[in-house]
Amino acid sequence: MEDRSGFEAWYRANHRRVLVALVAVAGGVELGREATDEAFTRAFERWDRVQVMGAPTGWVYTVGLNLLRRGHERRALERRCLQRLGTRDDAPPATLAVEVWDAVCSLPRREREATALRYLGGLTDQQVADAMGVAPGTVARLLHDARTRLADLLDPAPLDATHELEADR
Amino acid sequence: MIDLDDLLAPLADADLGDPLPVDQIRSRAESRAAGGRRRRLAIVGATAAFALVIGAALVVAERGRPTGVDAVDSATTLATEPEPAPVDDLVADLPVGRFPYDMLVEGGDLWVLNNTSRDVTRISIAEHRVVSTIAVQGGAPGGNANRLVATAGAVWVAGVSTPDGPGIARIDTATDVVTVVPTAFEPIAISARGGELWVGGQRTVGSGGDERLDATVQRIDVGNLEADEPIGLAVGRVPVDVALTDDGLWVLVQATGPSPLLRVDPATGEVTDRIDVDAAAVRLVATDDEVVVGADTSQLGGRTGAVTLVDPATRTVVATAPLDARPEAIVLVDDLIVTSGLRALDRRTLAERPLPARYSGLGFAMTGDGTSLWASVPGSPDGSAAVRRLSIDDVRAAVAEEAELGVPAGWQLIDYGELRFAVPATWEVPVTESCASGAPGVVLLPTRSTSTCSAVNPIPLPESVVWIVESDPQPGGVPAELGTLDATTFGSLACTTCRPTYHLPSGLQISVTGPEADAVLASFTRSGVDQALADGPLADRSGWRTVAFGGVSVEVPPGWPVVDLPGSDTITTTPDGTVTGMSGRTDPGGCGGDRFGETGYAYVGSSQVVSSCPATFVLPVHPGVGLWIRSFPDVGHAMVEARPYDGPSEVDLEVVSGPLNRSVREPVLDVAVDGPDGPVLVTIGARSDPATIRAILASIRVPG
Repeated sequence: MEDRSGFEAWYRANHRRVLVALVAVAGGVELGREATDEAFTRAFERWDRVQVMGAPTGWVYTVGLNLLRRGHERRALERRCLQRLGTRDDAPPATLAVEVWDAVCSLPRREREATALRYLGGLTDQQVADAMGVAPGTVARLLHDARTRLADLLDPAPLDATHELEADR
Repeated sequence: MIDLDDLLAPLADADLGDPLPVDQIRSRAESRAAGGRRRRLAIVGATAAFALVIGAALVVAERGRPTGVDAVDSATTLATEPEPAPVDDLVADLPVGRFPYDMLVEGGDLWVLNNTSRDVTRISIAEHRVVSTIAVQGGAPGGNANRLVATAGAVWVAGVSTPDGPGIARIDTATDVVTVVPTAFEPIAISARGGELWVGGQRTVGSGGDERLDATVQRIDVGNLEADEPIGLAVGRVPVDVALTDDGLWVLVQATGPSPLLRVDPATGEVTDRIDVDAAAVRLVATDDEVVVGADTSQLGGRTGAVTLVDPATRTVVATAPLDARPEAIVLVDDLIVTSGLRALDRRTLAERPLPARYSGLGFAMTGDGTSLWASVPGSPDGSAAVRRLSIDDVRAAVAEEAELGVPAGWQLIDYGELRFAVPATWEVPVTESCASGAPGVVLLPTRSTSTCSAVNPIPLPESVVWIVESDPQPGGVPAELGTLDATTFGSLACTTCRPTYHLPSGLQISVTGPEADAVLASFTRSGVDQALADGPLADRSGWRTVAFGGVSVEVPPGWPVVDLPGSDTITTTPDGTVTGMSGRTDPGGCGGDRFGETGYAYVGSSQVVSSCPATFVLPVHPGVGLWIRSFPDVGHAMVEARPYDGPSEVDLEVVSGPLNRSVREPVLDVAVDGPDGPVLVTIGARSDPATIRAILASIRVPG
């Protein structure tokens, strides 16, 4: 093996964010972990090239997204997310409300990826665009659409005033 | 609006377990590396032994590059041992007879009726091969094999000629044996349902001076092959198509004016309804819920066609839509009506759903089998033709993709390297480099800004034009969006009387003028190789040739000549070894040298012949078809950025970008693969079909 000094520090600094983001993209903790581990392993193998890249973490995100896209057919994934079979692979992280998890999983793939990378991975719009291979303007649109969709799913419809009064009686 | 930071904070803080220890990452990596080394050592050992034998024969030392070409024709193997058909493939071309006119799927086979060669090609869908070619001539000259239909155990052909007169041909699907059934008139149309078969054609009625032709239908019992008395419809025109449904027999009669669509009661032979549809109707598809009619208005001097949707319950026209294609064939796919062309329409509203340009021209004859759409490919001048298998899922995905891009219905899509954009279908000169043509809707593709196509050139441009030139990237500018692309402009976007020029990071400058400018500008997106890198179908590799270089093999489509670039070098020297002249093929992308062009070539290795650069003349750059495989050390590593390729490849590939030793910036895709002798670079011309590019990438191997 060639000299891979510097890998460990970089790995420890970035692992958590990558893992969280890919878990959200995958719709499952185990799937997200597998993709994360494989992406970092590939970075380790190519460390001489990866470490000199402008954004090594962006490279790892791209690899992780590609692994998830390749390994899991989109519709099956979304179906799995929504059905939440109760196995550990598909269960939401314990600290996350089930309805939030379901809502995130129900997002179209590209909106889910953009949301995860932007808000969980902590990437900028430009970095998300680079990782996803789309224009920054597209990322902005995807995030806007995701916010709108999540709001529809999670914000309870305001009660009609009459109903509130009746309920108070 | 919802705050995603707050919403997702619990997930960010969730307990997801400890990171994989670095030791385990190292262990996984070393384990994989050991497997790779074992394979590589075996290859290097064999190569070294081979090199010892032939080394003395080498006269010209290469610059550390592997040389030579391995070309293997895989067609023979494929012909004797056909592989099962990959259902998800977009493209699978199979040869058929001359002028495929109609086709259907029956008993797991595709049956293609070839009008000119008067035969039926039977293709095994499971095995992707031609099973048999069945002549359907009835024993006499003439006849016009028009339509196919299937019943239990048989496929029927309308339009054969026998010594006793016209008839239909019955092909036994178990034996391919043909039986001819005489009919009272020349059958042009045919339909079947249950145990009955209906044919339509014209029959002479009347006598003496009162003779005339009448549209006629006739029922034939499939069991005993007995025909009922012909039924005259009292319409002096040709019934071009019939369709039997639970609701009755629909008969489409062609006319130069409104074409009558007749509903006939099959029990009584009475015409119960007449609905006038478009002139020059040619095709009828009917289910119990809808009747779809295609019209070929080109017969009347027009360029296009039309589709009409009829409600069989109310027997009224629901909608009619013009079409920039001749709907000789119509297939219903879920919520789509797909016609020759290939054009897709919404099944309820007939709104056009644009499809990529790569589908254009297909499907004079078509059918579907639930997972695949089969479409005829335009024949070549020698009369040979083919049918192409398209994945229905991919057609659906392409429709959805185009819908997302917001391409106006009926517009034509133009792929240019990294760009895709749409222009109105009425633009008759879609691509030219000439500013002087004066035709409306000219698309000017990249030339250097020194060309006569500069913005200040006095040559008057047509009213509508897409103007694209290549120059050095322009720093600065106001950020702007060009379709889905990020661009900059130096003009004021608030200016309502001028058109800004958009600058892309690659250096392309784009401006659009004319009344459709806004819609054209909004349609710009990434294309070419970017499409190929996205998820998508693969071309079928049957008959492709394998080319090897530097321990890496790749398959190329049939018909791409292999050019051994080092092998083409001719070097003239003086007795003392001084080089006095060189000739041969130059590397693709050299100024004035070899380029990827209209016809695909597979270039192998790197030439020593250097083309003259910088060129002193304007050099137009076109996306081309072709492949170039060579060693990576020729590329300046420092100039190259790489990202992993996510696609159907058995080996790890990286998409690389940078100057890559090409003096002319051609739109291409470059991928790198680790070979036993070092990295190898595969360059693919961007004009190749995305499915073809994906198939090439999927074929890359490191043998051993």
